[in-house]
Amino acid sequence: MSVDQVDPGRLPWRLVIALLAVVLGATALVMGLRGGDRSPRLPSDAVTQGGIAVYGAYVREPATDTAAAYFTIRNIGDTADTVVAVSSPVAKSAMLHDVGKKPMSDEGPMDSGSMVPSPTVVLEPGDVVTLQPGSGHLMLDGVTGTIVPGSTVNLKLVLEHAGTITVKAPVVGLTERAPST
Amino acid sequence: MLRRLRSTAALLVGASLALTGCAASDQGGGVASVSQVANDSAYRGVELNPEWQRPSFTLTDQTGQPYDFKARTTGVPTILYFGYTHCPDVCPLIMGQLSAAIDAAPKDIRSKLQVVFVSTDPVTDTPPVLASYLSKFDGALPVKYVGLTGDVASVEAAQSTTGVPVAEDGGKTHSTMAIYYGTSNEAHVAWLANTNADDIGHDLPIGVK
Repeated sequence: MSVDQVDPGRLPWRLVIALLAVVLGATALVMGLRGGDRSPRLPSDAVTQGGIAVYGAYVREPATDTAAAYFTIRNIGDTADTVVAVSSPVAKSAMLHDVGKKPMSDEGPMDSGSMVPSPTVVLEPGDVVTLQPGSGHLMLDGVTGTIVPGSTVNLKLVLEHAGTITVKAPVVGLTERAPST
Repeated sequence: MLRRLRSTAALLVGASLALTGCAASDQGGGVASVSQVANDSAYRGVELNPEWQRPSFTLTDQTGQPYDFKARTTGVPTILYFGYTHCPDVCPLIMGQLSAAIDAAPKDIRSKLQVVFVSTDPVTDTPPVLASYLSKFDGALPVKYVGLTGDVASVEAAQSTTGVPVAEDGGKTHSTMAIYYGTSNEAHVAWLANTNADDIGHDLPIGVK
């Protein structure tokens, strides 16, 4: 290093740059960590309203008059909010099930499917809830009309503070893979 | 260990790691004692070790006729699954992935493999209901799926003799294992509902014997 040879009255420019880089890097790291919850980079399909973002929505093509919808819901605001109701114009009734259930493989090979109602879902600031097969779904019961790949289904989520959020969920065919979220 | 294996498998096939990886850090394995998974398993599904034997039970098929599972499927590669038709979540997912995997399987497997769906909600799942349901899945396949129903005691006995937990809550809480018996009448692998068609397709030729 050439530091020793520099005039003692002045800071070596390389050191200044290095220090600046460290400070900038640390700032960015702190901002990045903090911003991870509050101002995340959301997927392009995200619908945001009143501090709540919903994205990655899809509906599995039903084999009966019962279908399941999946999505991710994230609190990007500063206050807690609660999902208090769900509905869809294509279904007689809708309900959240198994929200917060651990993904299937956590239980080992003897895990079972289940349908435990989740009437309300509380989202603290920064919370991310992902519904995925085996760990939460929005059940659409008594579906009407043709729900086939290529079409979309409107899902309505009612939040205590953010109000009613409508998401367009594309339909995924019965033999297609689950989209990764 | 199971979780790690499954995550690794998902990585290998470029599958949905995000689906399974997010909760990996704070949960243990919880592998049931009937099965074990080795990291050197040839299967991407859940390896059954020791292997499971093809069970014997007779129920009613979707045409209303008696179906003796063991007699009808002995020597035939068979996938056995317990579920119910109004299950919105895991049942259509695994059934659809099975269909996709079988459709893409080598001809000798595709032309023989029998899928048998046993209802855990036999009160709702009458033969006509099962027939309508299964037709959504087997349309492209040469071997049509068999759907079985019966009285509650009989379908519970079928689950017990197979070795899966007996369904509860009117059939809604049920095993998610799709058990694959080979021509030797032993099952070496089963798939959970979060297994994708590529993983099932990978395991089909290995477990066929």
